[in-house]
Amino acid sequence: MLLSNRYFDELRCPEVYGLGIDVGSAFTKAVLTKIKENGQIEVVAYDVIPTKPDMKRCVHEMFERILKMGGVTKEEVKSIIETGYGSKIVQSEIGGSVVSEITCHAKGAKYLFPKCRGVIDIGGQDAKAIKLDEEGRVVGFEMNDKCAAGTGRFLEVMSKVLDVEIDQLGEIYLKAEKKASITNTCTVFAQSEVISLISQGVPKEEIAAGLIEAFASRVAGLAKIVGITRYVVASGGVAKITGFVKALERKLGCEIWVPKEPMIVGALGAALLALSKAAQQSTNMKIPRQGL
Amino acid sequence: MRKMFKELKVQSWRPLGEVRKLFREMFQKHLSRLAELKSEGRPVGWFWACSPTELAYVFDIVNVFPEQYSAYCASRGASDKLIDAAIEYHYSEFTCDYLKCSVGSILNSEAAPLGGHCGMKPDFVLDSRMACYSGHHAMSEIFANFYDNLKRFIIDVPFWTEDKIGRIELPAKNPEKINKEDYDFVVAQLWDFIHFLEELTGEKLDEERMKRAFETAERTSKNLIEIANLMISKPTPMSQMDYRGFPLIGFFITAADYALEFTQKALEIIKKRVREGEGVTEEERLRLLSQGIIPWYSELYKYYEERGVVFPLNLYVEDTFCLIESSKPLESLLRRSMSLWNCSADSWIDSVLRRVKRADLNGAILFENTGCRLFSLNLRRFKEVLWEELGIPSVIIEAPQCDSRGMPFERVVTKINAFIESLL
Repeated sequence: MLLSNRYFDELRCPEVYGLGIDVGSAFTKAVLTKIKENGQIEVVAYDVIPTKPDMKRCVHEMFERILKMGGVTKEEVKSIIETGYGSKIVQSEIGGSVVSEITCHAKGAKYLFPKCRGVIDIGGQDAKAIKLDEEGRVVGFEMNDKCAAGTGRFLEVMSKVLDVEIDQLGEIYLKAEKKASITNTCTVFAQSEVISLISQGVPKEEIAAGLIEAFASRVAGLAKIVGITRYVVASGGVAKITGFVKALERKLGCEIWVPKEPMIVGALGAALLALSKAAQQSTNMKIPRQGL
Repeated sequence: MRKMFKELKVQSWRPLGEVRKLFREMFQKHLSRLAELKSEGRPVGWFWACSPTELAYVFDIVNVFPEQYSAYCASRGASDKLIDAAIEYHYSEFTCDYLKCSVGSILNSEAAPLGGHCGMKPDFVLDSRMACYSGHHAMSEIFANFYDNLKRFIIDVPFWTEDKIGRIELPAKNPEKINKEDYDFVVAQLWDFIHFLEELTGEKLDEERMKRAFETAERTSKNLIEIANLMISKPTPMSQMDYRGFPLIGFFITAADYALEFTQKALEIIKKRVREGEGVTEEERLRLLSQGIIPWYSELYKYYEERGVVFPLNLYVEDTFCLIESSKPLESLLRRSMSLWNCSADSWIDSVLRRVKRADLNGAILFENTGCRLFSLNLRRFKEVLWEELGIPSVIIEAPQCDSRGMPFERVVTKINAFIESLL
C-alpha cells in the first residue's frame, strides 16, 4: 500500500535519543534508543554490568559506556528515564525522571512482543507479575518484594549449595526423571532442606529439579493472583534458564515468550518512555505508533 | 494514537493548619479531663473501639482507649519499641499491633508516651466484640493478668448479617431493620453495664446528665457525618493527615463538649474551603479511596497529596462514625457495633459503593493490615467488587498499623507509584 507524502512529512523529524537505565540489585542495565528521521524507532545500543556497592560510580560508568557504544554525546541524549532499585541515585547523578519497574517492564515487553498480555519479571531481589490490556496498559500487578524466595537470589543461593552453575539448574530439571520434594520455599530454610537432602544421599539432579519446580510454583502463584493466562513474556536474568521457563509454562498452562536479551526489558521500556517524553517536549514532532 | 509520558510533580500542599491546631487543643483538653478526674479518684476504664463510651461522660469515668493510645504512639514514632517489648515477652509478632503496643506500654512504661499503661492503669476493662471478632476478648483477658483486681465487664453483640439488619446506610450506620431479639439482647447488656457503672461509682444514673451527654454526642456525630460528606467534594478540602485523627472522636469521645466544640469549628472551616473551591493540593490529578486501618507512623498520605493524589474517601475513618440519636441512646450504641468489621459485607457493600461513586474516584489503596489480619480478610472481595461494579482498580498494600518496620516507605512508594502510573 502506498502512503501519501503527507504521512511521511509528519513523521520526518530530527533524530531524537532516549536513554533508559534500570539499576537492579544484581545488574545495571541501559538501553539507548532513537527515533530515526523516517520516524522508526531503533535500539542503538544496550549494555549490562554488575551493580556495584558504589552505585554512584556504577551509574556514571554505565552512562559513559552506553554513550560511547551509541556514539553520542551527553548533550544529544536529552531524555532519560530511570527505573529499578537504584533509580533515585541515577536521577540525582545524571538527571531524568523515575518511572516504576512495573510500567517499564510492561512497556518493554509490549514493544518486543506486541501481542503481550502478561509479563513475569524475576530480578535479583524481587519478582513481578504484570497484566496488560490489549493496548499495553497495566491493569494489574503483584510483586514479591519481601521475601527472597521466588527471586533470582533463591536460585543463586541454591546453586552454590549444590555446587552447580545457575544456568545448569534448568538443564538438570529438563533431564531429571525424578524431582525431590522441596517443601519450604523460604530461601534460608530451603537451603537447610537441601543440605539435609544431600546428607540423605538424594542425587543432586533430583534436588535441583525439585528446586526449579518449587521456584516455578511460587512464581506461577504470583502470576495466577494477577490473572495472567496467555501471551506471557518472561524477563529478568532467570528467564535465561530454559528449564525454569518450561516449568513455568507447565504451571501456567501456556507458552511463555522469552526475548533474546531478557535482562534489558525494563531498561528498554524506560528508553521508550524517554523517547515518548522527548517527543512530548518537542512540539513539532510526531512519534510513530510502533511501541510507544 | 500518541501516548503521552505522564508523571506526578510536587506541588503546593495545603493542609488545614487551623483544624490541626484545634485538634491538638481538643486532645489536650481530653488529657486534662482524664488527669482531673483521676486526681478526684474517679475510676479508670479501658474501652475498645465501638464501645458505649458516651456512658463514661455520664458517670465521670476516666476513659482510656488502648487502640487509640497505640495509634498515638505509632504517630509519634514510639510504637516499635513497645512492640519489641511485647515480642520479648513472647507475644507473637503476628498478633494484633494494638495488643503488642498496649502490652509493650505496660512492660516498658519508660519507653511509652504518657507514662505507659496506655496512659493510665485501669480499674476496669469494658470487654466487647462490638468491633473485633475475637481480639478484644483475648486482649481484655491478657490485661486482667497484668492488673490485680481488674474488673471486667463483657458486652456481647451479634455479628450483623443481612438477614438480621438488611442493608445498612453508612456512615450514619442506619440499618433497614433490627430484630427484636437482637435489640433486646444488646440493650439488656447495655443496661447491665449502666448498673455496673452505678455500682462502681456508687452513684445512681443521672438521667438528665445522660440526656445531655447524648445530645452532645448527637450534635458531634452529625458534624462528623457532614464533614465526611464534605470530604468527597471536588476539590478535596482536607488532608488525610488531618482527617486521620477523627477516629478518636468518632470512636471514643462524641459525648465530650470539647469534641463538639472541635467538630463545630472544623466543620465551619471545611465548609468555607469547599465554598471557596480550595483543595488540599494545587491541582488534583487523581482521587483515590483509602480503606484499611491507617499505618499511623507513615506520611504516605502527605507524600501523595503533595503530588496531586488526594483521598476524598477514607472508609476506615468513616467507619468510626455513627449517628447518635439522643432520643434513642441505647439503640444508637447498639448501631455503633455495626461496623465494617462486625457486619457481613452483603449488608454494607451497596452503601459503600454508592459513596465511592459519589466521591468520583480513579482508584483505591487498600491497606492489608498485617497487624490486624481479620480486618483485612474482606479486602480481596472488596477489590473485586470495586472493579466489577464500578471499574475502579485498586492496589493492596501490606501495612501493619503500628509496626513501621513492616512497611518500608520506599518499597511501598514503588508499588503505589506503579499503580498510579497505570491510572495516569
